[in-house]
Amino acid sequence: MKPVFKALGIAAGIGFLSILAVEPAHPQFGIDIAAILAGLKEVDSTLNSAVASPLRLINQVEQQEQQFQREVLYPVAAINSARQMATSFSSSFLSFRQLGSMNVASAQLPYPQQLEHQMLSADPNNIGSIGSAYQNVFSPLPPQTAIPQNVAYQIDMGDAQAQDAIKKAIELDAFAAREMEVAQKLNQQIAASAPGTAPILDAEAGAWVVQANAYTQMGMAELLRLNSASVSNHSGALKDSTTQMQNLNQRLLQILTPH
Amino acid sequence: MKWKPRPDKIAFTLSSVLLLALLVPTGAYAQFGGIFSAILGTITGPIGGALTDINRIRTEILQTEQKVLWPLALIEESRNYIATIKASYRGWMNNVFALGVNSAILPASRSLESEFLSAQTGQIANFNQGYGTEYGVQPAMGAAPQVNLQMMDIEDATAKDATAQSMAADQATQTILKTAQGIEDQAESTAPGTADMVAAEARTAELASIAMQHKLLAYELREAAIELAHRNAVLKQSTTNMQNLNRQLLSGIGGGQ
Repeated sequence: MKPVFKALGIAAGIGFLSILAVEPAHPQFGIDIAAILAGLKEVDSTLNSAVASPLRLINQVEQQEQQFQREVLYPVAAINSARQMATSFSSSFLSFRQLGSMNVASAQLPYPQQLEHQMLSADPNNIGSIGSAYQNVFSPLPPQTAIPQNVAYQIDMGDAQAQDAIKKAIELDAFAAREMEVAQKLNQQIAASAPGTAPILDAEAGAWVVQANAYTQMGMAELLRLNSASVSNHSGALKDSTTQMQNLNQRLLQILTPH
Repeated sequence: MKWKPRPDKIAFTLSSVLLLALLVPTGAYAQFGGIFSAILGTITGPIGGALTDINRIRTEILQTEQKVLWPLALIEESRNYIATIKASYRGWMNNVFALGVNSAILPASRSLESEFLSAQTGQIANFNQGYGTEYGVQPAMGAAPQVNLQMMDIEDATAKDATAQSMAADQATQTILKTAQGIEDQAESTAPGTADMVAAEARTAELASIAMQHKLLAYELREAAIELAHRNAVLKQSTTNMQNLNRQLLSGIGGGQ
């Protein structure tokens, strides 16, 4: 045998043995599938214990939470019942508006009818013409020469306060009409609301209630001024009569006393 | 010297290279081991730890909701509380509200009183008719100075209008009371999550009630204003009359002004 063939034979033998020593499937990549499989099994086991198990628990808790919300916090029956309640009150709010906007006018004479019409109009645009309508019924301020100045002041102040109050009453009627309108609309909105949006409507209604209370305060302040005017008038009348009596006495004395 | 390759050396060299080529990738096995170790570390550490924390927190939240925020026992207790309030007060309140306050003695007065206490707007026309019997009818034109006629008319009108509105307000009161009781009934059976809907309804009804109070306050203002206006008108008349009388008196007895 030639030495070349002998050497090639030895090399082939070593090479064959070397090839047999590694995995025959993927020798070209040099990957140990068994090691990978073992690693993947380890990953699988860890995923099961460290991920899947807590996820199962989380899922369980979430289901309990969902059940709690569905059955205790936000039962569909309770939501529908609340909506139904709001719907059933629609007619009440409508009747409320109607009762607040009835025509109750009853004056018979032209000027009183005109004043009454403006007083009950609930239209702030009529505030500007109250003065003339008022004077047509209750007489205008007499000329300065016709009455003592202090009496003229009292009359002017009294007329002014009476008219102020009538104007405020028109404003209050106008506010009341808008408030009833908003209440009716809010009720409609509640009938279509969800538990999560109801607090928004509640806040809106709350804001209107606060605003309405402010208008009540405004009206009460005006009423207080009217009552004060009446008290002041009593005092003023007493002062006037005292002064007039004194003047009359003095003049009578002047006339009757011999010069 | 010219190198001459020997076949056995060539064979040995080739075999060694092949063996090395096959043996070198075994270093990658160590690399995979590191990767798996890192993956497992991530799964058990950041991911697994975070999931465990999430689970713990969610469990605590659920427990807080069920034991602190909305315990079933307290929900039931609140409902029972409302039921007790209703049972204790509603009947009594309704009875007091329904008590009659009529006090008139004479037939015409009794009739008018029952009309304006009827809480029925349908009675307003009857009330307006009965008012004339009680307080007199408007005198004919010329029967009194024009200003007096006008004052009588506007004062009667103001009184009648306000009373009519008070009858409407009484009717509205009945409606608002029914609404309030309906809201209370709903509160008794509502859930914590839907109570806000009921509260919003209550607030809305409150707004409507305040609106009606504004109507009444407006009438009260008008009545007080008309009363003041009446007093003023009388003052205008009496002062002018007094001035005239003084002038005439002084003139008559020769005192002049």
